Amino acid sequence: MQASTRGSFSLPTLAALVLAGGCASSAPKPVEQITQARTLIEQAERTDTHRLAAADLEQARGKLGRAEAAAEDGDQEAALRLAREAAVDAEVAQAKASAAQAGKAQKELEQSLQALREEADRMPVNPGLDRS
Amino acid sequence: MRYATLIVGVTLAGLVACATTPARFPEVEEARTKVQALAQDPLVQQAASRELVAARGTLQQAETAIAENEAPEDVVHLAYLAARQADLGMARIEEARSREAIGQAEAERNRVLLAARSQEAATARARAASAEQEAAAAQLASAAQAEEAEAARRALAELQAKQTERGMVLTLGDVLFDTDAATLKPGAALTIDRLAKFLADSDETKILIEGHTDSTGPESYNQELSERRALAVANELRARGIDATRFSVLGRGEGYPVAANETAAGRQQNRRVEIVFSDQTGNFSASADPAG
Repeated sequence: MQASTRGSFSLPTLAALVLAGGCASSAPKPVEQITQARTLIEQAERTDTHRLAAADLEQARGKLGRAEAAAEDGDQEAALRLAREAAVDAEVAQAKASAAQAGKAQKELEQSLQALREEADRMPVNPGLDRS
Repeated sequence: MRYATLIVGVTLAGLVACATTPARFPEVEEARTKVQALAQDPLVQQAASRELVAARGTLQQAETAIAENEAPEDVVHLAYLAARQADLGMARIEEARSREAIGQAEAERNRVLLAARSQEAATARARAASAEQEAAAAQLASAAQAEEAEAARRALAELQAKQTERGMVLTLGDVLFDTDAATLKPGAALTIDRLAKFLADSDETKILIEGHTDSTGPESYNQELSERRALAVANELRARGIDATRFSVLGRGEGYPVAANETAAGRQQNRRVEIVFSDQTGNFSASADPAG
């Protein structure tokens, strides 16, 4: 995307490349992050999240799949990034679902309150006193 | 030695790279906008303070990564994480806002219910008060009635009326009539005046005017005499302004003696006019009419 403006390498990266002798990736597989993302996605799947925040949950699932694939391919840095993104996507999905549920409850309560108010307004002001 | 030269060269290249304008990442701009919006939300400290701290930290990392010319994918990744942490904070705030509104709506609901209940209570109190007022008014009315009845009773007692099973009865004795005549003696005037005044004051009361005789002489004569004496009283009342609808006139003849006809004293007692009073509403006692 921004390739034309990113032509340079930072010093540590270059030094690491030099010192590692061009080794493709020495990072370990991000097992912990992948597990965390999977757990968060599974939690979301047990609730109404798949219905209330389907897009975010789908994005989390897609990234988890890609994280696993990257780990298989030996690109552990990409696997780590994708696992972290999948985890935060799953968290966002859960939070949006919770918010949607709260919003629904709010709406229902406000409707019932409105009905109650209308009923209260229909009550005679004071039936005991309108007999003169 | 060649190694050192290489490192120097690399360092120089790195310095040159750092001196260039840092790359601009729209992902980072977007994340910054989101983090700023989150930071400005009034509910952020209450509902999403952890998310704000995390998002700011991650955004800072992204900016540092740009400044240090880290791999673009790392910068984009960190910007993504920061933006999503801001999204997370916003979702938490949205939920908190709904929960707050729920709390308010519940409080309002309780208030409305309470108001309705106290309205009901007020209505019930008003009903009770109005029932009490009615009861008091009824009591007052019945007290007034009792007082009126008592006044009437006292007035009748002044007339020397007697309580009998036929109701209050006033007897105008023989001495008030000329012998064998239906004209009232002047001495009867005081009694008739009192009777007229009583009837004027107690405007619902009605009277029966009954003439009675002793058994001396023919029965038909006695019947006629009893009627004439009763009528004489009625005429005196009419002369004093008492409406004829207030009284009935009856000749009872000799059939209802109050004493023995064998003695002069007894006969004198039997020659009489009786005034039978109704109650204040114009009703006579069930046994007021001895003839049935």
